[in-house]
Amino acid sequence: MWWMIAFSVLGALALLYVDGRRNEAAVWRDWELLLTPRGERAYREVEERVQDELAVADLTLKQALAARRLGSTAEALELLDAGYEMIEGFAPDMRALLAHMSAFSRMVAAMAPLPPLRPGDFRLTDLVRLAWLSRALHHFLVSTAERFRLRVYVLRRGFQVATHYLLSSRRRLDLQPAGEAPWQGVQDAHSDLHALSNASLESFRTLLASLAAEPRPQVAFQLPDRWPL
Amino acid sequence: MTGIQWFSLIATILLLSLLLAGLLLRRGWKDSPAFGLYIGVVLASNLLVLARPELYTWRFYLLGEVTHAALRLVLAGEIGWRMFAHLPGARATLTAGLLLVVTLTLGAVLLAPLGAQPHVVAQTALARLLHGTAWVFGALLAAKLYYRIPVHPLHQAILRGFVPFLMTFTVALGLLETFGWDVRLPASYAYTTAYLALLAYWNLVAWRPPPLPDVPPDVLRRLQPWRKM
Repeated sequence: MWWMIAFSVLGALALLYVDGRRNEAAVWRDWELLLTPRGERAYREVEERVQDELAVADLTLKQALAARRLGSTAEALELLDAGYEMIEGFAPDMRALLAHMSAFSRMVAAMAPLPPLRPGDFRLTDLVRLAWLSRALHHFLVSTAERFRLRVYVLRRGFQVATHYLLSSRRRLDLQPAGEAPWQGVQDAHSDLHALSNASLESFRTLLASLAAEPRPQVAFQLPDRWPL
Repeated sequence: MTGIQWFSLIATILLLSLLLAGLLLRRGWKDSPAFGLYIGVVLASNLLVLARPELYTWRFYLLGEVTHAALRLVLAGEIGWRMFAHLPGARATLTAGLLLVVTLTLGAVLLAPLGAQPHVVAQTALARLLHGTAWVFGALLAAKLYYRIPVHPLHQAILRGFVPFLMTFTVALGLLETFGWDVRLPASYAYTTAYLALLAYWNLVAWRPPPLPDVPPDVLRRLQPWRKM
């Protein structure tokens, strides 16, 4: 009997702790965002911002590759750093957005189905493995909402893996600036960041479409702080 | 009754009266009629013991506790309905969870050695009933956190208050069951302290006018249509 009581007491303490940390005003703000036309605007804002930031990161990568071809390795590395700084800020925002999507997807009863991530869309070995794993797990999950949350979790991990890979490639370039493999790694990570961003936007669109299909208020979402509406 | 028992009874009656007055004057009873009813019934049973001390017996105590437990379950149902009635997806999950908890509690209570001396019944069946009720309130609290539901301050206080109090009550009865009457005094003090602290906390909330959330009236109407603006 005592183990049961101990389990309940610990559970109650954990619940009260989490409840004490909750910001009620922030919860109301989330619902306000959902229940007003701000949801649609939010999607457009996010899409625009993601595309803009990726376009700038692509441009710096292209210029870095061009500079490298012309033999100016130092300039190429400087341009690469500029692109990396941008991604360094962009990836955590995407991870935060995905975390919020996962939390709010719990409220969507009529979640629209989404296909699992395609391993063929990725170049980095770790991401390909992650996509295969998520594809396998996808079939074990029963509800569409659970599958959605798995997808969002894998995307979050994906951003982590891709940015980590980008950073390690950049470090390797310091040691061997003319090496082919690190440059290829940078290009692969960029390509995978594109794939991850597109999959994230697709998930976001699905979440919003599910909200619109709900007959009653079901969900709220919150954008990362750096994307205020 | 000992001096401490008299003190505890009078302090309880004072705090309960103050709480009932607060609910009536601040209109809190409109936000939770079941809570007003519960407090009224608990106050009446305490006043009965004060007026007729010969009622201070195990049988009367058991009858009172079973009535209070039934009212607590009604209160949990009311709060659950007010929180989730307009969110069908969450409501279905919560209903299934609560049904499971109530069934397990009922099973545990029925398996207790009924028909024995009243104090044995109090130590076993009542402890299980209280433990199950704590789980019901805990489930509501967990569901509120999981689904990010905004909650009325009075409902919040009821949930936050009942979970630790019922756990303390369960632990106190568990101590009696395990160690016998030797631990009656510490168990009784722990229970009385927790109960008085709970009533003081509810008084604070009941006498404070509930702040209206800073959201458009439409949002409030859709999430808490029963709430007066």
